[in-house]
Amino acid sequence: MASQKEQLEELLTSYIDGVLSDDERKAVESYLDGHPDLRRDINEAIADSLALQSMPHVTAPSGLTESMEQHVERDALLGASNSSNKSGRNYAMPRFAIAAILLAGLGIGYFVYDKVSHERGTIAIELPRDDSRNSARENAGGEAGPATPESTFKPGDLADAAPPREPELDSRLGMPGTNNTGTSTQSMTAPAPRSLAFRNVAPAGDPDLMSLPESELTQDGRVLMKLNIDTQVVEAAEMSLAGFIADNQLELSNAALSLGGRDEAQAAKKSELEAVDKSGFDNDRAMTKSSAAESKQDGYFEKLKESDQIRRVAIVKNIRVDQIDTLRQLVDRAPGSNEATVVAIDNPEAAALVNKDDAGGQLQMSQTRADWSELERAAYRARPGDRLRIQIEDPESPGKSEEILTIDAEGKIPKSNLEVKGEDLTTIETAIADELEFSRGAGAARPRVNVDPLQAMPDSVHLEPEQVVDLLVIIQGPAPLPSTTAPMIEADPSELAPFMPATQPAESIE
Amino acid sequence: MRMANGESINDAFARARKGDRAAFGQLVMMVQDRLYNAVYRMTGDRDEAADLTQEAFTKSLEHIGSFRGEAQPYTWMFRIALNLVLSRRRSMKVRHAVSIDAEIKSNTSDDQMSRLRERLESNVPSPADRAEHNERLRVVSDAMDRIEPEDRALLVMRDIDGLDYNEMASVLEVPLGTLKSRLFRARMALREMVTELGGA
Repeated sequence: MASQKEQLEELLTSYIDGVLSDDERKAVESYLDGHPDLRRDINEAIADSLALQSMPHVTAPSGLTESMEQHVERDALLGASNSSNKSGRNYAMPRFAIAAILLAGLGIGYFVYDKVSHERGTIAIELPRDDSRNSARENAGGEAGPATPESTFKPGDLADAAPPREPELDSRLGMPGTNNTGTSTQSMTAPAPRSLAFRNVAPAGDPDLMSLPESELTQDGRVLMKLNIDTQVVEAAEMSLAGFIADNQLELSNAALSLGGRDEAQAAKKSELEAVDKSGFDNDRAMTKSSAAESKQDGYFEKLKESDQIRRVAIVKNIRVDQIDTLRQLVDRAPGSNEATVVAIDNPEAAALVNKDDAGGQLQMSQTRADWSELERAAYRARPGDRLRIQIEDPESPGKSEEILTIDAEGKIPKSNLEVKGEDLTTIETAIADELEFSRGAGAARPRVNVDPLQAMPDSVHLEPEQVVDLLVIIQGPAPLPSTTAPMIEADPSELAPFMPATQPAESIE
Repeated sequence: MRMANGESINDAFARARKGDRAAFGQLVMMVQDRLYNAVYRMTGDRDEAADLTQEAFTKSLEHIGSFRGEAQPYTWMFRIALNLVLSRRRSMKVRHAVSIDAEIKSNTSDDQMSRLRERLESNVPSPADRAEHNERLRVVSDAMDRIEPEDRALLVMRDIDGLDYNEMASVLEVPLGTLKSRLFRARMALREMVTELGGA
């Protein structure tokens, strides 16, 4: 049985990897609150982990497979001539067979089987250089992940949203990766997402949030997620996001925005945001937000206006609910003062506004934004014992009344005698408004009702783990993204020559 | 991971086990980059990584008949590669201190390096942020070269190759709890080394 220390280590490992459940995570964080030194180590370990994850992916040298033939051949020859080998001559023959298998299987050339002497095996091998492997990669298409980053990544493609390491980033990291013609010549390439098929649905040349297809965002109950990333960790966060999406075989259907470095586009976007801000926002839900939520929204909106450089916008489709928090933590746990919040749009009107073509999608999204509790609110189902705050804005009487009530054992709201057990908040609000309106008789103005759970029973908020939702992911960071095609290094080619080993001829193991 | 013809690693592996020559070749094509990258991060040396990756494939083919199907094909091949890496580390008793910076330096003169660095720095949009990120990457990379090979292998498996806990436990043939505990200690070992090297 694991000792207490080992159990703690197991938990902390899962915490670092962001794979704990909410309850477990809170328990660990509570423990860390009492152990600041350990917390610091854990935070740094998380940063180390992200750094490792962001290391450039190194592809196998182009001569690997053909060198492998030589390797196998050499072993075979050595085996045949070395009587002390435990397998003796019998060892050699399977090796020849292996060589033949590899050659036949890889399809990278042909070999001429001249003769195999029983005294000493001889094989002549003729292989084309380089091209064969590249063509095999191309044949593998975009799904080979790390094996084929060069073939999958194109500037402006959706891959830009969950990016393989960009050449510029390699350069910034002090890694060779791009020559001054913009041609990739180094085998150190991006850790491209594995098994991930990208599909760019945004019109070419206009990768903008507002060009997202309407159907993506306007369905009722859509869950949106906003990831607001500290500047220093934006690449790491992007990598984490890409890895998560790839590991979970999620479809990334949009990579909409990449404003960095485009001053005019940024200015236009900012102007739109400000214009719509002044126009107000006509939505029941938004109007009845608590002051705290409104304050938070304002803060976010201010931040959004300032953040000219929204780095990435993507819709992650078909993510299971039990994966959402992991995804959020992946970004949230990155070092720095990150903020990861989830937006739940549970109102079709608000959802429609998010995608309104003429009015800056970000603004409307910001108006419907809330934090993680908003998702919980969307999933709330009333249970006996829950305490609800009921606010009523009644046109018949000035001012706003507020009352806090506890759902009784039968699932009813005292006073109103409404049966609300298992109902969502919108249904409860409607029921209360209906009752008030009915009680006032024909012609009475309908009151506006807002209900918030103040204290919900543990099982009141329940998203089915296997429930599948879509997420809108926005990653912000002030560092502008250079154009993926612009050469980052302006240097004399001869100066860069030492950094370009990819064109080396295939080498022999000998 | 699938080839263009839709064949998965498992499909190719199954065919290869039955003696299909082409299937093993396809299998190699599908996993060689991933395996090479992991081996490179465990050894810190490109040539050695190429050599060991080749050897891992050769051994895989030799022993494919004895594969019992208790692990995923890639995990099984990874285990072979890992054993080769650790075996060589133990026999060499030599630590390869190859970091990203060292690798670049090995290919160029200091003057060239400093010129390139100047150029790179002049193009970095946010120098302070980038510098911090790069510095961490450099220190972590150096620290990886200095920790025990077993710890390094664990970190490569998890953070670089992206194996999940079950796959890692399968590679190392240890219970899940033990795996997590070891992974934690490996991370703390890395942390200690990073601190020793003057990192955060």
